[in-house]
Amino acid sequence: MDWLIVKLRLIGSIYPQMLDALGVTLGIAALALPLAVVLAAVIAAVRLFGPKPIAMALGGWIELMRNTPLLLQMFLLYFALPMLGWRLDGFYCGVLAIAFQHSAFLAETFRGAIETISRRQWEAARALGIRDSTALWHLILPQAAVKVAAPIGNQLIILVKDTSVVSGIAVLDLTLTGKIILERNAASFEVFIVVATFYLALTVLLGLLVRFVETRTRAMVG
Amino acid sequence: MDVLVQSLPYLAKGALQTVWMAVVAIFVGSVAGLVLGLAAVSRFTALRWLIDAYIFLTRGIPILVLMFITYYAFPAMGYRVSSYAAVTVALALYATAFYTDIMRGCLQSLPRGQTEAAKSLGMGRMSIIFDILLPQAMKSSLPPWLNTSIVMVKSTSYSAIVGAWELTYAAKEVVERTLATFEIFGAVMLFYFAICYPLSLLSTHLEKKTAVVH
Repeated sequence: MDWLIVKLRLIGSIYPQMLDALGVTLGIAALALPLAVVLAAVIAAVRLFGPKPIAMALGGWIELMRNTPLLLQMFLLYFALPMLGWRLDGFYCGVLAIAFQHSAFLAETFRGAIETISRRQWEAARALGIRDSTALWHLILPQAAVKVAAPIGNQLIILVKDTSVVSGIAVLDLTLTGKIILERNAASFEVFIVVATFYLALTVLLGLLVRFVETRTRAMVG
Repeated sequence: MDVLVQSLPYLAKGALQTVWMAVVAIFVGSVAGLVLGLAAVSRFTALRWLIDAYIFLTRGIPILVLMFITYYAFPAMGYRVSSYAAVTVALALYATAFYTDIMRGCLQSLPRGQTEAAKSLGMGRMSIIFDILLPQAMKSSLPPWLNTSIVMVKSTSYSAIVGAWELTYAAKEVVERTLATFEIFGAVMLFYFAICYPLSLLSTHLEKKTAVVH
């Protein structure tokens, strides 16, 4: 039983540090998600209704973001921007990189959501003499918003897990804090079991939230 | 540009390491995912629960954390394992969870009527699984399988954080030595892109093809 007491004492002693780190992880997620959603909405709008060359360029940007590792995107922001005379804190580099990558995935979801509803409803609106802009804001977008609620939730769960990558650019989030505690105290891998439970708790809570929103929005769509 | 040319052999070695790790993880994960996916729709309740728990635990944490767990757990349990092996084990465990989930979903989405029809024709259990259900499930699992494989290729880069040498780690070393940040990181990004983009094109193509059938 002795080892159990030792482990429990260890876990108790690292809790304050872990709570600080949890704040960092949550902060990154809380800033990156809204940024990703707004960026994705802009990208989707330009790809659907914007001028062709810009739409195509954004298509290329999306593919680049989706098919390269998040860590390298962070490295570019963190190590390359200072060379252009822009020094950005690691925390914000993490937020930006995560927002960029997730906006690329979300933009495609948004575009898909708008494309699947539109055609006949656009035509119906036109036949009724409703202007295109009115149809977009009052007819198409509200339906699209309901449709993308669940995908945004699922993306949020992936996003929370992706915040761990900021460990690679020296931001003291849950993961890097776990590593530092482990190395300083010669503690064992149990520290990472504690870290894992933090993430698990977050993803489970978000999963429940997503399921709640999903059932609500499904009821709205009918 | 000179820097890039000079460090190309070194980066190529890293790229080889990256591809090797990804291939092992994807292969092990696919085979294990196939077996566990079948087990997940079997009659053995305890087995189904275990698989559920495994998927839940693995998918609920970041792959980087799983890498740290295997990286530190093997030595703590008295095994001397190389850093590559530890990271690759984590990648394979993660891939297994995703592929199992995909395979289970594809098997479950097949209409029940097929199994019933096959039974009424007197086909045996094994024959129903291997001749009827599995071929269809494997076909429909191909697009998500490709998407997960892309995630796996991209995830190998996280071993640079844990401390296993591969392409991203090599790139960081070269950048620290030469300060050619844009060239090196840009080139390495393009390498990942060159692997992942064709896979994603194939996935979208297959998705469209199967969408027409339904």
